[in-house]
Amino acid sequence: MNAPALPIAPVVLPARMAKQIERAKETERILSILHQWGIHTLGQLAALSRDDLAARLGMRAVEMWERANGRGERILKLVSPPESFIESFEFENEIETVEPLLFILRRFLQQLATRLNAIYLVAKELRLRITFADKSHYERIFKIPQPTNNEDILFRMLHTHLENFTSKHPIVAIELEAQPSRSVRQQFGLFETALRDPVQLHETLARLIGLLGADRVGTPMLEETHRPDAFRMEPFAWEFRHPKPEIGHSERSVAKSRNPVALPLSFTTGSLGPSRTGIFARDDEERERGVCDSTGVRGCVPLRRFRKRKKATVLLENNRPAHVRAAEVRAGLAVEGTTMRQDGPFPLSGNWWDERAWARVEWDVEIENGVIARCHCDQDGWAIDGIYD
Amino acid sequence: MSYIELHANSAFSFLRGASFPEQLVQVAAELEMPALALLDRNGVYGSQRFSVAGREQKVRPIIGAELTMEDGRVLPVLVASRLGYANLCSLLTQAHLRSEVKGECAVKWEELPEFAQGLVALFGNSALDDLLGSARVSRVGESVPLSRSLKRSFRRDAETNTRDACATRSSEDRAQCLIDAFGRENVYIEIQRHFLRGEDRVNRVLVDLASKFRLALIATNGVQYAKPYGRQVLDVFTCIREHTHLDLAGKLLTQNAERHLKSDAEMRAIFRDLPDAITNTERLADRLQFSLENIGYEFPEYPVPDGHTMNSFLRTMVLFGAQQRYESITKKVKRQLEEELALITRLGFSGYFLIVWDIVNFCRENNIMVQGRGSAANSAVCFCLGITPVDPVTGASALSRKFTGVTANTARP
Repeated sequence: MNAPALPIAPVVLPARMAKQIERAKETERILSILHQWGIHTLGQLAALSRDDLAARLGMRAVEMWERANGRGERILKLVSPPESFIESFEFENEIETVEPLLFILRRFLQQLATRLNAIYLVAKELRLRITFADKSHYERIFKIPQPTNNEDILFRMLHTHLENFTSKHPIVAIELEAQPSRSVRQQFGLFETALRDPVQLHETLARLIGLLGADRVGTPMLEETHRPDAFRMEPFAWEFRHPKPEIGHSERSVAKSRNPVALPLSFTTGSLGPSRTGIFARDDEERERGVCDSTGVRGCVPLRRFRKRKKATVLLENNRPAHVRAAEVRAGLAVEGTTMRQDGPFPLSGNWWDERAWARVEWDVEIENGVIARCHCDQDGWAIDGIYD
Repeated sequence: MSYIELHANSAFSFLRGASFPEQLVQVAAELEMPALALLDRNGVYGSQRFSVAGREQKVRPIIGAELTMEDGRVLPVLVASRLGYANLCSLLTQAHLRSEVKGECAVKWEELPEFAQGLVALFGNSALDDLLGSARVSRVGESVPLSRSLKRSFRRDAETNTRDACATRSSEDRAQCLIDAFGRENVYIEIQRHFLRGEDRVNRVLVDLASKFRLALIATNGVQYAKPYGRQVLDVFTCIREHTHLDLAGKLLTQNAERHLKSDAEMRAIFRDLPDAITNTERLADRLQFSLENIGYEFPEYPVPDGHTMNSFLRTMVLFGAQQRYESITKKVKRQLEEELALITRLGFSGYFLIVWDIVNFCRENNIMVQGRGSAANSAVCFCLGITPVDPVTGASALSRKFTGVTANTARP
């Protein structure tokens, strides 16, 4: 028995590629015929009669004949290499202070701005790359809220950042790259508000970040966790109403601005939406109205949360808060006195898998002066979370 | 009367329990708990290991299961009798066979009355209305998402219209449905306290239901791990089940580590306002005397000609086969056959051997390749019946070794 032949799957080539292969085969066929005729040089080919060649070998042979006679034209296309806006410098001596760095950076910015101006573009992003003596690198990208070529503005941005910059090793090289973009023109509507000077705001924020740290400046976002009042700071995002949103701000900004879960900016006291209470109720009606668990079901008693936490001293009796004392939590309001009723404990814990592990035990207490407060005990001791309205 | 945990999940509740049955039993023994109930999700997969461990640790094992109903709610049931075990297995088998997705299962509310005999149902927070948020409050990280539950509910409504009253009506109607199906004395209101905000309201509703329908309350802890540190394993399991990781799991994870086995004193302190809920656990446990030891499994009967019993017919067929297989039946062969036949008769395996013989014959007649395996390969009876082609008389028989000290429940050739 003969073994069946292995099937070979047919390969479908793109039409353009198939055409080129056909053309190459045709050329090869013509060349072999010409060799059989004794035609081995371009001069011999050019000396043949065009019409006879066309009659015997077809149009492809005519194309070859025309090229041999210098009559064929092939128009060249100008392809310019993509322009990169990178300036770099390697120091002869290692740099340990910021001044020479700033001097070089200003020169870089001048050159970049000149080159960008020449082709009517502006910088929308700067990438700073610093190489240290131990071959390690530091890289930072500066998003420019309003693309510009203004050297002073760009320099201030770099300067602000480098003011607080420290490193373990001296600097041996520096590189600055600008991302070009078309300049932005925008016209706001009559009732729209816009930043008067986005660059100024950006610079101010950069200064704040330098002073406070990147994790303490931005938009507070609620975290999806059981940790009460947990939030993180996301960098500020702007959305300019341009016809083409890709010009003038980063994609990241657009993505952020679509996120609807931003925490309301109430940094003093305020409720974070529906509170999660297990607070006791005085009667059935109040119970109906007052209960609002973590699922956000009907009827809520809002919790007026204190930020930051108010330290408290709590006296326990039978492991239940019997007396609570906190400094004046709000003007004219003190949480102090014997507790009339307590609800709890509500032990909570999380993030046991990393260094952010937390654990706390919460209580709701009604104090003799009528205030109902939520307090908790964690590794830092007792504190008042807030009071129920 | 001491507290008995009547609602525990083991790791056989796939990704919903963090401890093996043996670990649960060991901790129960440490807590001096006289009995423990294992209710794994949609199966009794862990009950065998649980029973063996229970016997070793002197903790009486109680068998049950959590049934996922067609609307996503979960109904815990406990087995009271052998019939109840059979009914529970039937319910689970039907639900699994109906499911198109492996591992998922949906028991229909309308099936319950048919299979309720011998079972005790626990009406707990997972059976309440979604409006109370009970499922999400009390079963954080392991309940069916509301959207999926609603989808199933809508699909079911479209299919069965008002036929299925239990699923569509309020909590009170559902409680009444369970009473109608199981009988009032076989429905208990189950209360759990895990120190979560909002759970008191759910429990108040359950207590009200108990008083309205004159149902007994029992306290359980909805155990998902033996010791508090099992919570970490459960959180990881939750991430695996939800296809996420710890940093992104957020509120899918548990809020605290309270779902571990607790002692009598701890549970009495937690339910000090409802002491009956504690004492009822032992009363109910006393009723649940079923165990896998008295499962009383019997092999199916094989139809034999008139005038024959299964034992006599097997003997006839073996001796007939021996005449075909051996040129002459020596004393050694006869002794071997008699020993094996006596053992088979004593254990009540005659029907089983005849069924296997019938299967082998069917295969031969229909040109299907068939071959006996295991210790059957060393059995003279199997050789004479044509189940195996190996003559064991030349060597020692492993059959008697295999059957020594075992019961009909656990050994087959």
